[in-house]
Amino acid sequence: MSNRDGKLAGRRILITGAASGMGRAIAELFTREGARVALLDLNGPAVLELAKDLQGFGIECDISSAQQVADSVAAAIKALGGLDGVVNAAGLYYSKSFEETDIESWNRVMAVNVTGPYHLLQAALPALRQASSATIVNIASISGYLPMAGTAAYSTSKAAILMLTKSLGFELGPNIRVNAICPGVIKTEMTRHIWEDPARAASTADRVSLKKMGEAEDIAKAALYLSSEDSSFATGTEIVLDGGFSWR
Amino acid sequence: MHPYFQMIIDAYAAAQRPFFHQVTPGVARDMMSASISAAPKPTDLPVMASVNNENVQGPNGAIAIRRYLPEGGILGTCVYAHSGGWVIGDLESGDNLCRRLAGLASVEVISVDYRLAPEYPFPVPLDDVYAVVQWASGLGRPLIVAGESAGANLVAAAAIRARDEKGPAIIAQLLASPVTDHNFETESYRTIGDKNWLLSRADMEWFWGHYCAESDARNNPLVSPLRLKNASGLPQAMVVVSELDPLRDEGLAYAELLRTSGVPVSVIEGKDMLHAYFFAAGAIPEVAQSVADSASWLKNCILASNGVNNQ
Repeated sequence: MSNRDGKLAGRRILITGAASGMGRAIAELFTREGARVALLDLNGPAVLELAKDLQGFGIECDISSAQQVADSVAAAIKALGGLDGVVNAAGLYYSKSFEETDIESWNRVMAVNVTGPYHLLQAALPALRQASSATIVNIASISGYLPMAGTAAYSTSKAAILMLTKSLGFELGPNIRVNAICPGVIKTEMTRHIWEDPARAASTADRVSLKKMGEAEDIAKAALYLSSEDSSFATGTEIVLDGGFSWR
Repeated sequence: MHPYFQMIIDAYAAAQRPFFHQVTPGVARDMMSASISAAPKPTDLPVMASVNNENVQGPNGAIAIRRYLPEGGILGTCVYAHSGGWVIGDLESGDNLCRRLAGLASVEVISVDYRLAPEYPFPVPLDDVYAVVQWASGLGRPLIVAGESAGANLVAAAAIRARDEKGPAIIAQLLASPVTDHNFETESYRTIGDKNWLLSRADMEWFWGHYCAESDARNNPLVSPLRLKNASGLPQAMVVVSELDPLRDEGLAYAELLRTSGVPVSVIEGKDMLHAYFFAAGAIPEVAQSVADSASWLKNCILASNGVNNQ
């Protein structure tokens, strides 16, 4: 499984939300590129199954819980013998008008999408500081800068992650680089409601310049770039991968 | 102190409820049962596929158990021992927590109605718990143990016995507000012991007197696990303590003993919480989170035991 010539050879990377979607694609690509991975997910059995396949470390974790994150990150660091990078891919999608967004839903979206990365980075930073060249990649969204119908809570959480990315890019150098990816509509479980509905899938694809929805692997390749030395001058910035969705 | 607990303390004071050490064991048991049956059933308990009362044979005769099977896949078996200073409590005292652990950790929980002191002092309650641990290992799933207060003392002792007698393989132990020693001079005893916040030093002396009257016998690590010379080889542990519990420091000391012996330990410290605070999970979100965190930890111990993660 290990690839000594890969772009991530020798790197130890922790990925949240790793059991499905973009997190999973990132875990698979990173492993192919020589990284050793620690995988966190709310779905314990699924993430352990994947960890087994990738010869990585897997652990169930609700990233909204400081306790679970502290335990999981400590176990991951122990298993990998340190940490060179983090990918915050765990996320919760929520779609309702602002008026229909009750406080429990609002708080849950913030707890997973904003406070989750907070807990994770607080727990991981001491280990990342030990690494000679560490990377943090946050999976945000084009929703973080582009208002769309029924996404006030989700979009606000993603805007927060974009600013956290900039703030940490500012604060954590020179040995830790922090960047974000803003995916457009990517074919994952989170967007099942779009691609399973032929009419909605067609109208969504039509809005995209490239006339298709993105694949999780498209995002994984950007995460690879941002987690490797190829992006050694990038920090506090974001890569938008939306097939041209934002400009139409 | 969290206002929910203050409310309970105030209500007890208003009702002039006696403290455990001021009554007989029989009255204390009735007080405990009355508190449990008076409390409204939480609305957030996980749904169980089945809950059954059964009996297991032990060295002292039949032991009543209650088996909680959650809906969905079962990853392992968890033997649970309730709180109550070895003297009071029964299957009802831990009923809510058993449902929560079963649902959240995807395990069958087996609650033990172990025999109580003073009618049955040490080692009978431990014999009962250990017999159920042995029986539960026969179910063939990964095995964990959990307990609260004196129940945590019993499962910690059962884990020591299992290690020393080469008994069942126990993967993990959840020790909530554990009794680990008979030293009443810890910092937490000195600062909180006389406040009668659900548990006092006088209560604990009374409980100890019933469970293990002879002071020399209390140095046995199966009675006071903190007296262990060597804790290596014991199951990884989650130790949950409350900030405002006389037993806080002995819980933390046991976590430290395990850690220095190379046993992986995770600790939750319930800020503003009183002794054995998991019972408040339905009322206080932070407590529900601590229960969820403990269950998630147990689940991870089981998942990791299936040969994954051995890098």
